[in-house]
Amino acid sequence: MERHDAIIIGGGLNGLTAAAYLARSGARVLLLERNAALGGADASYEIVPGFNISRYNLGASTLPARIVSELDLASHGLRFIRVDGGVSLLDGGGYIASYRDGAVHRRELARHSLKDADGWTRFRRDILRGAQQLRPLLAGPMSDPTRRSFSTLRRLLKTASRWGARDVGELHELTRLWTLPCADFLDDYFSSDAVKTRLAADALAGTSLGPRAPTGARHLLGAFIDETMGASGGAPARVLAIGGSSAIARALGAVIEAHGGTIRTEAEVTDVLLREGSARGVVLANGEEIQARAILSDLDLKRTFLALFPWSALPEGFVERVGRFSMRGLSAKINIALDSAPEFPAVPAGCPALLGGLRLATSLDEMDRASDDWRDGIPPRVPLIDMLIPTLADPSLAPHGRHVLSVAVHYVPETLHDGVWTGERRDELTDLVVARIAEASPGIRDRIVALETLTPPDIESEVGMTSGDLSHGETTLDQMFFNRPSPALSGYETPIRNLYLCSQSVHPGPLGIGHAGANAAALVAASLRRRG
Amino acid sequence: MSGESDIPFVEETGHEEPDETSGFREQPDFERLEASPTVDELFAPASDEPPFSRCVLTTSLHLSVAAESRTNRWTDWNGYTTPEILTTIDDEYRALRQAAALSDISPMVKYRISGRDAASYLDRLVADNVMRLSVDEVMPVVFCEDRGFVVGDGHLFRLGESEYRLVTEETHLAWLLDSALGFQVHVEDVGAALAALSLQGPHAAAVLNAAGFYDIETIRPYAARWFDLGGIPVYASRTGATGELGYELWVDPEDAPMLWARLFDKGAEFGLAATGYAVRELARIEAGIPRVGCDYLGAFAAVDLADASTPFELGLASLVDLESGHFTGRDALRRLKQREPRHLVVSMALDFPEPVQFCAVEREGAIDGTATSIGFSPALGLNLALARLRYRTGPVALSVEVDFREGLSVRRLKIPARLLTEAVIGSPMRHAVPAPLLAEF
Amino acid sequence: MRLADRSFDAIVIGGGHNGLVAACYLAKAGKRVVLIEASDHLGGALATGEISPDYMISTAAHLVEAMPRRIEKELKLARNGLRFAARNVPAIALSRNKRHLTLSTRRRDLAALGQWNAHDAAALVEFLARLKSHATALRPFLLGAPPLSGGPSSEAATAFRKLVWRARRLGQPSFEDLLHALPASIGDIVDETFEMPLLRAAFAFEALRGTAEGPYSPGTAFNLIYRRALQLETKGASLPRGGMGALIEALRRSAESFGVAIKTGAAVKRIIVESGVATGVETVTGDFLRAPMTLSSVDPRATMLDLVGPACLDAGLAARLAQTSRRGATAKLNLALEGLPSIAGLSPEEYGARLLVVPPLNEFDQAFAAFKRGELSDEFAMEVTIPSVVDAALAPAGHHVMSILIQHVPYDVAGGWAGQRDRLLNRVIETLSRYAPDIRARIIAGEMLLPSDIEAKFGLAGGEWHCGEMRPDQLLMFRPAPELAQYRTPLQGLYLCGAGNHPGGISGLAGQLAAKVALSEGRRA
Repeated sequence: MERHDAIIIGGGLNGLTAAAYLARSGARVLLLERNAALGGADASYEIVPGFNISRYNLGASTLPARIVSELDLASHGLRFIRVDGGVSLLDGGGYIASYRDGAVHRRELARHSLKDADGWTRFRRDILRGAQQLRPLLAGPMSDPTRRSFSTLRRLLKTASRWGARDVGELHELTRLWTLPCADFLDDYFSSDAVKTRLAADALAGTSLGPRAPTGARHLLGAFIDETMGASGGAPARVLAIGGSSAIARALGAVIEAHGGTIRTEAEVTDVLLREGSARGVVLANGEEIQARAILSDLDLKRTFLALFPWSALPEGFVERVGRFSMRGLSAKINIALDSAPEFPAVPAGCPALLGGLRLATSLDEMDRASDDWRDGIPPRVPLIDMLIPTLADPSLAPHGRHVLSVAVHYVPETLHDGVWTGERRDELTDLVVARIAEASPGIRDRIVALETLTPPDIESEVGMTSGDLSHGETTLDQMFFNRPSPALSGYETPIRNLYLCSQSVHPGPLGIGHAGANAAALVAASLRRRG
Repeated sequence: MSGESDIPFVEETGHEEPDETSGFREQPDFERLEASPTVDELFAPASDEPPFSRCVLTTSLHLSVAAESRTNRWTDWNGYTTPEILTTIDDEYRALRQAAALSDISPMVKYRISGRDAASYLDRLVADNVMRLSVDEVMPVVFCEDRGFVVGDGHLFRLGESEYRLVTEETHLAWLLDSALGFQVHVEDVGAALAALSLQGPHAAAVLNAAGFYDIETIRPYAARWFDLGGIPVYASRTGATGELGYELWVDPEDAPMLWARLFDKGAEFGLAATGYAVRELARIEAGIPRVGCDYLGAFAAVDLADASTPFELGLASLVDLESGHFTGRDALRRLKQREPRHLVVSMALDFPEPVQFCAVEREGAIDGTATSIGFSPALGLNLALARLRYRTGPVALSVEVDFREGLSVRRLKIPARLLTEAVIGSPMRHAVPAPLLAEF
Repeated sequence: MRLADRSFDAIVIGGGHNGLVAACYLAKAGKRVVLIEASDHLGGALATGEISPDYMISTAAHLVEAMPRRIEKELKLARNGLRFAARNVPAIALSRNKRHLTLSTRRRDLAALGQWNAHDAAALVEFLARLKSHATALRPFLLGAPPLSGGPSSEAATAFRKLVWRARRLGQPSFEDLLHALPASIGDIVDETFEMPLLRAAFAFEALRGTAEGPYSPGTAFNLIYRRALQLETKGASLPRGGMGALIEALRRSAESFGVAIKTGAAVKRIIVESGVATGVETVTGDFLRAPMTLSSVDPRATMLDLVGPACLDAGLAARLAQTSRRGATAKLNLALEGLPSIAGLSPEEYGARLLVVPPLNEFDQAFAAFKRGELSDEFAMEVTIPSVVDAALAPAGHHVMSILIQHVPYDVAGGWAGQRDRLLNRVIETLSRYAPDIRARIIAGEMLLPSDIEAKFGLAGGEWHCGEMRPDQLLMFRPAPELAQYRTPLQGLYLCGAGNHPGGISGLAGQLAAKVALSEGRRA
């Protein structure tokens, strides 16, 4: 029987990151992935031969800068390009775009409202300040504030003093950012509906919250987390990996193997071996047993504990607690191959923001209704549609002159109020979305070479995340930071000794994919060293 | 050159009959002027035009200015294509300091503020007492947000009983509208609806007089007046951030090319030269005037609070009146005045005979601040800079490190620098009453 | 002697309960106080009115829930005529299948609940215990002036450190639960706590009463904790004998006994500001009143923007105040009834309770969605009291009055209220008929107050009852704005003492704490 220092279950970006850090620290690691391709939700596939497209996510995933540099991913072939932030097409033929260049971006906003061009300056300042506060929290574990230890108490008291010392206006700004609905927060800066809708959709796409739901404004931070003050004053860049999101997985795989780690795909873990309450190894679907000193799970919380363990092995009440963790599918994915470049007559030729993606017209009210409908299990009537044409920035993803169109449809419920997702319901959704795209891009139907739709249940069955929730758990504020997934588990350790969580289900979750893997790996590496 | 100020004020020539032979009082020759270049269709910018649908955003004077360019060196000013240098920096500088320099300042941001409460609105907006500003007067202003940090600065013109114009470097519409709550006031961005020319230099008054701005010499510093130039209404103010005698002319964009041509036509004999942005910057640095977005960041742009400044830190305390009425930030500034400033924006000089570039300013070997604007003064043969230095009392021994390039090799020199306590260029003409210079030419 | 000719130490603007409480405490401390009220009667939204002759009812608010007993005692309200018809009024969630649930942990009620659902009976005990312990942890924040932050030895630093100690004392499970509950939606909390839909919906309504949020809006669980914390110092929800007007009458008598001069029918036109100092008020009739301190109990936004005026304020503060949201979401229906409607399954003594009529959570959520869109929902959550059951004097013998608070009624409806008003009325009566089939036949008279009526009648902007919504960015030291925390304003001599200030609610605490701050500054000056 093989023996490893650490087994990582699941080859998503967090699992790969964890394995890479551990391998680099000298541990003998084995990464086990159920599917044939690495990358989890960021895996890509050939929809038709030669057309590469991200199968589940939009295809604009990235890794935090610190991980890229610490793992030296550049020397393993990973390159990023930064493009402008994208375009929203408006009802009635107009559009609004996001540019990285401050002067250009302000000029674009001024087209919609002169006042909002100035509002942007203050908005950007406040969001960047918020992002600065948030950034240091991502690159380390949360420690359980409820733990009854002297060091916890001392830390909490210190935190209390630090917060109390802050200027009341500053605290108020933070409170606004973290508790207000997105729409209310934006009202403070902007007056144009086009501007507000664009920013709200940027923030809330892929979350369950509508623009009028409290605590939505904090999602505005998302795009700014890796922005630095030195940027030129425009909108945050969209960062694309050359070769698509799966190139990130490939580079991480290369790091693992370069440091002597092993990666096995099509190796599904069905059980975790336990001895005296401690994880000792895993059992594969083919019955093979592999032992290791530490096990890291990149599966979501529910799948980790509800599928890999006999429930009796878990502490009392634990299963119920895990069951309460809210995971709900939010998006459907439509992958399209095109035989020529799609045209968007509303956008001037040569607009560089097209590289960052397109969003189809919606309004704050429509988004709010879509979110309400989602809660009721009703597919969106006016869906929020995000598109990315990765081949504009990286032509190597498709044959010369051909393109792929990656479409994410948001506020799509996993369970329908009146039944289940059938092929028919899936086709209805596809038709609705394609019709909307065809309004913005006449003639696109004739260009479609291949098309495939994945609903949340499809995503769950293929890639494993419970309910097809791509963010491994809702990102409502009661499931973030030390509440992700619970105070005791937010530090990556679990009630099972030697079993660690490193997926998006733990802090910081989707705030920065890769952080959880890196943070968990640091903890495991220290523990392995301690144990000799 | 110094003789002009000796001409006593009483020798006003404005009331005399025009001298037929000199053509001094002739009306502009519009037959000829209309042939001068107008803005080409290609460059006509629409304010709501999306970026990337056209390439060039130009002012109404673009073709007039372009005709003067001998270098094809352009820069961007608030998004507008603006000449960096038209001939040579030395020639343009000489024109500014010894004759007269004309430049297109249309890219400046201009707001028209009108309505019943315009005066009280502005008095609450800016840190100074606006109530003392009379019609046809101008005052430099600075305006702050609630915490006392400067949002921006500029010049405030009173055009009528309840009509004002605020001219600034950056746009502030959001703040101006936010501040309008509760006031009956109308704020309008008139940037594109108003062209502006700056005529600076010791002969500025003479050029204007020759061009038909009769009695221009009666305008005191920071005053303004309407002129009728053969049917073209021009508002002339004695302003300009150059430390020199100078005027700014405000005119309808359609009339601006004609005014430009007229000034050149009549100004040639006084040595009038068109100048670009570089000289404007140089003159500003010589005068020690900080510019927002460069020497300090507006309060709404400063992500790090350390990059924002209070008026005291900018040396603009004279524009703050804490006594006469409430304005935004007054309570905060009263508190801040009791405290030490965090930093100061200062002028400094480097005794080095060639233009250099540097950034870090060291005090006793440790980095202590940042040089934010640098220029080489041809008149003084000195490198001048505006720098933001940490506030400290006690002796000051400043130095900068300069990478000095010779071909492809580089030398690093440490050069001592000194603080300047007053503006290095202080033309007596700046505040004196100019006399028409007809006799000399 | 005309008021304007007398000299005062303090002017209190607005004769609502907070204004009266503030005036009482100032006068009690020896200040010569004048209280001026714009309308002809005191009390604002705390009033007793006639539905039709001889049928008296609390016009708007109908329960005293948060006034600390300390204030009752210090202002000698009992001696000044305040009697309670009922205290600790229990809440009963009405069930469509006649199995009504009393939301209490009295043994009898629990036993009844336990028969239907043993899990929920246990869960209820634990839920209420947790709620109380969370509320206790927060209590010190609510009963004093909100702590100010800034600087290493700030009040807030001390208060936050104390909170750490208290949270720790809760014990790990409770602390963990608090951390989870603070940002959560009440819908998620009740879904994971209870099995019975009625219990879920009832507690969701308890958290949402009077807010413009829905059961699944994040942060709404905190409302329940906050409300519970305000109740810790009280004897629960109480019905004053004679309706809410009786509370105001007692406060008025108390104020007069302390020597407060009260002037009704005198609307303030502006607060006089002279070089940054508030020196008095000018009334709409042109009278000038001067005093070194002025306390305003009207909406902070109206005080600062309408009475002081933005010209005396910094632009950022004025803009922020103008932006504070006022989303009224509650309508009021008062009914005069011929006889007591019979609610099947309700025992006679339970008619005096706070009756909660709530749709299941998903319908509750849809009602909220309709409210957001400015539409009338088909289902409404309602809080019903029949005060004449415990206070017979309110109606002729054998007759009754019924007071109904209707949740999620928008300020504006698409297409305007004309015609919709009757629809709303019919929907409400129809819903009530499910529980009391004979109610329609018993109605003699009624009055309906929509949010816009409440705005017009009581001057509450947007028909919002709290003078500023109770949202995290408008609570504690941020209420009503960080610059106006602790009842002070940028203008020397001007204080805010109304419900729009910390801690809000019908507590009188804002009035008492503002008076305290004003007195301490007066001494220092």
